[in-house]
Amino acid sequence: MRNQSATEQAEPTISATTGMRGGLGRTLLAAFLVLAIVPMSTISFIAVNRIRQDMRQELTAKLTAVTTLEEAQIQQWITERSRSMAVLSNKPDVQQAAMTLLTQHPSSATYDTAYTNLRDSLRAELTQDTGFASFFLLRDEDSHEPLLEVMAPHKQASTDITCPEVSLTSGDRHVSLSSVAPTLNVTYSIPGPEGEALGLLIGCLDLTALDQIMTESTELGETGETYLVTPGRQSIPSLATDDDTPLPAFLHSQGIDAALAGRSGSGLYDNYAGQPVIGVYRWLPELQVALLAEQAQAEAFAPEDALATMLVGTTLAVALLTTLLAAVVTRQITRPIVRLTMRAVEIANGDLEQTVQVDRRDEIGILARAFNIMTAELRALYNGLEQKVAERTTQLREANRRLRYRAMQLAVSAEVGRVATSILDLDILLSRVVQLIRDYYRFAYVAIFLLDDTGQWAVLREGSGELGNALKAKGQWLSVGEPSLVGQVAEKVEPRVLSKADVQGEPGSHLSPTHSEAAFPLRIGGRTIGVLDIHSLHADSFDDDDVRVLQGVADQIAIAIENARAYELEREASRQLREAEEMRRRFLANMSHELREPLTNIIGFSRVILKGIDGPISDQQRSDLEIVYANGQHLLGLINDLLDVAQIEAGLMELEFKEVDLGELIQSVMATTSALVRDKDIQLRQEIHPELPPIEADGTRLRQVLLKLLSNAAKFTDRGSITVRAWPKGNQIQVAVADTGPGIPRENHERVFERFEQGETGVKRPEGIGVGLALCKEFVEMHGGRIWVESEEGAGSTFNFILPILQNRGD
Amino acid sequence: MGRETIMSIDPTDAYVLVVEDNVHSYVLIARLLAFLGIKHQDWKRSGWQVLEFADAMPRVDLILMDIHLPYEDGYEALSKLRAHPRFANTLIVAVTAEATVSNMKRAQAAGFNGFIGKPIDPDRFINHMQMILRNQPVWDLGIPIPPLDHNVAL
Repeated sequence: MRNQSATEQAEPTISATTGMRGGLGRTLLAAFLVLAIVPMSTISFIAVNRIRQDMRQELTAKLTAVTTLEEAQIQQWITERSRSMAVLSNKPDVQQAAMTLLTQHPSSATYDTAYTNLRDSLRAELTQDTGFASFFLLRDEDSHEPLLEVMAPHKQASTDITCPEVSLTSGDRHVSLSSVAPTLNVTYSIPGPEGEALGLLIGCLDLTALDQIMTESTELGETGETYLVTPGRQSIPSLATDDDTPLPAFLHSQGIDAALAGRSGSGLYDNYAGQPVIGVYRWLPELQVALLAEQAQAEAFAPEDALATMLVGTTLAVALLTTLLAAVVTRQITRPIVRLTMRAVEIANGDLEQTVQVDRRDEIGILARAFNIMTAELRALYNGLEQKVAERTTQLREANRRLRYRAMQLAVSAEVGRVATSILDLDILLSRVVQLIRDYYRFAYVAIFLLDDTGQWAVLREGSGELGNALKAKGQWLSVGEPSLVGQVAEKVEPRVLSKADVQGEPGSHLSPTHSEAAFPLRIGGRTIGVLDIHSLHADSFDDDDVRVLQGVADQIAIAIENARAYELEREASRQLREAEEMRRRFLANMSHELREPLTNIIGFSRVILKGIDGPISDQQRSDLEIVYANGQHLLGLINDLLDVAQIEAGLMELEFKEVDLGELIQSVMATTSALVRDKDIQLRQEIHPELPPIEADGTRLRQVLLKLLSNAAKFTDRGSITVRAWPKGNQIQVAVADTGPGIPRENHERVFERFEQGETGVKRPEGIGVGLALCKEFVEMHGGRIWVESEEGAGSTFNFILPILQNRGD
Repeated sequence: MGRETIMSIDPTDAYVLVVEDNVHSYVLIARLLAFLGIKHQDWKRSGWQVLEFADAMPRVDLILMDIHLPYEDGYEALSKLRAHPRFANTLIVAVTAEATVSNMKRAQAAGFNGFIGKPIDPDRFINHMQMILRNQPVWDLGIPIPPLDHNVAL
């Protein structure tokens, strides 16, 4: 049972261990991978970031350089145009012609000449310097009608030039970019003779030249571009998207907004077309324009992306390598551990013969060796335990067997006890008992010997099986004290056991196959009444315990035999008693008949003669016959009393209870009594309580009692009165018969109720008491009542009796 | 039973059978019956004899039967007589010295038509016979203990 529970407990443990197998390898592998990949990834990330930052700085610097360069170029170009303008306006012929035009009326002769001269000069200038698109001569800045207007030949067709808004604040030159339509003018004032400004010579710059400057800067790769944005958010040159989607009317971007707000700087932002770019922007205050240089991030950072790709690739490659390495190392480490674990699991399963192969010198090798040592110790321990368990199991089995045996012994005792108390027939009892003992113990033969009346012989009374029957039929008598076991035990009165050798050596043994024999005395109070003899086929069948228990059984058998015998005796005695009783009853019945029959005839015939049925008789004859008749009556009364007494003594008297009206009964008896006191001076009185309840009684016997008391009173009273009283007293009724006779001395109050009391004391007493009062007492007491006398000598007697109203049938 | 047919019988015309084992007791009864004027009398000693001579009897109006009889008691005799067609409805009166209430009840239950306790008191007996022949039932225990006459000395 213990083993079973152990394996049950071991199951989950083993499965858990099995489940752990390989977990170690995976953990190690994962750890290796994490260790390899995380730092490399971190380093790559930092490196890529750093490179990106450097690149950005570099790009910004490049863009800044571009803008600076372009600003300078623009500046230089404008300066050149201003100088050309200055040279032009300071030419004497130009000044002269302009002055003429400004001062002379157009109708004058000089005006036309001057106009033509100026026009030619300006035209020549336009041809010479392609930077100008046109020249205007204005009277003042508010004038909208130019005095002269000269277009560059290559521009003439394309543009209708309107006069630019010109603000002339100081000096002789002013350069500005129109906010709406991008135009760039250089303005010079024409001085008069006194130095006052007569008019303005304005040169409109050809902005295509600016376009050229802007697009010339090729340092910025394919996507790089520089452009100017006017405060009106128009670009110079006009810009376009790559895919020809229309641009918004007003350009916006982070760079444009910042530059128009007057700030210069650089940054990564989305340009006007929503492309992510890296850009540099600055505000050109002289031109009132924003300059931006931008390059698409995609292009700008292309080298960095390549670097990042390379780094990631390298990281992956290293990770792969690490994984392979880790796998190999993990396998190296875990394989012996797994093997160790599997052995442990097998040992846990109970296979202690397992050892682990050791071929390493590291810690795992040490562990394996320690494990082997532990297993060996466990094996040694376990083997010891198994042996112990085996020993204990044997002991337990033995104890169990003994327990069962003890239970069987108890069962036999109980069964014998049961049989002994339930069966009173000695033959059946003994036959059952030997059968029981033989069957329970599986004995070969069980016999019971009883001593005969002389005590000299043990006689086989019962034997089990065929052998028993055969020996019983033959009759087996063993002498008490003879060398046989039964003879010895019968004499010594103590149990004895013969072992194998003894049995074989016993002379005259007729039970050849038996190997051991035990005999137990059947004892009653230290004396032997017989022997219980048991034969077994096995040697040494009877140990001390068996002897004790079987002696107990033998004692029970002895008691049972004694009981059965006692029962037999009792039954015989009771049978005899019943016979005697029956005889007595028959005698009484016969007596009654035999005594009364002749007496009734005496009475009957004397009465017949007295009645004159047989003819007339003489007076003397009548007187004599009356004596015969009266004595016959008296004798009949006595015989009846005696028979009643005899019947009571024999226990044959039975009362017949029914409802009796005591008052009526008393009256009836009084009527009979009146004849007895006819010749005396006696008054008969009755005082009967008016509410006297009927009582449960035998009317016949009660009548006898009353008649006896009244006739006694009448007999002993010569004069006076006889009074009968009856009254209820609780649940009883008391009756008193009082006379005025001589009374009874106190010492005789008890004795008058005894039988045949009359004459015993030698005192001459009137006849007739005899058994009468004794019978009264019997009858009253049979009713559950009481009778007594109250009397004083010379003062009359009162006989009282009390009767219960209801008979208690339970008594 | 049977009283419908025997309404009232004149003693001189009555046939009475006495079953009594004691000769003197029978003689006493016979004397008293004769005193009543009953001429037709028969006497048998046992119930068995009654059955034996049943067919020989001319007529039976009344059977006075002692209970204490040889061979079989009065109750057994009664049941046998009642089984005989001749006596199935005949008046049968128990006459017994064992005059107790229980015996009287037993007699009643057994099918007797009356009960007279012994000893036979000639005065009462004559009365009883007259009553019975007038078809008046008689169930009398008799006087168990006659009062003693104080004049009688033992």
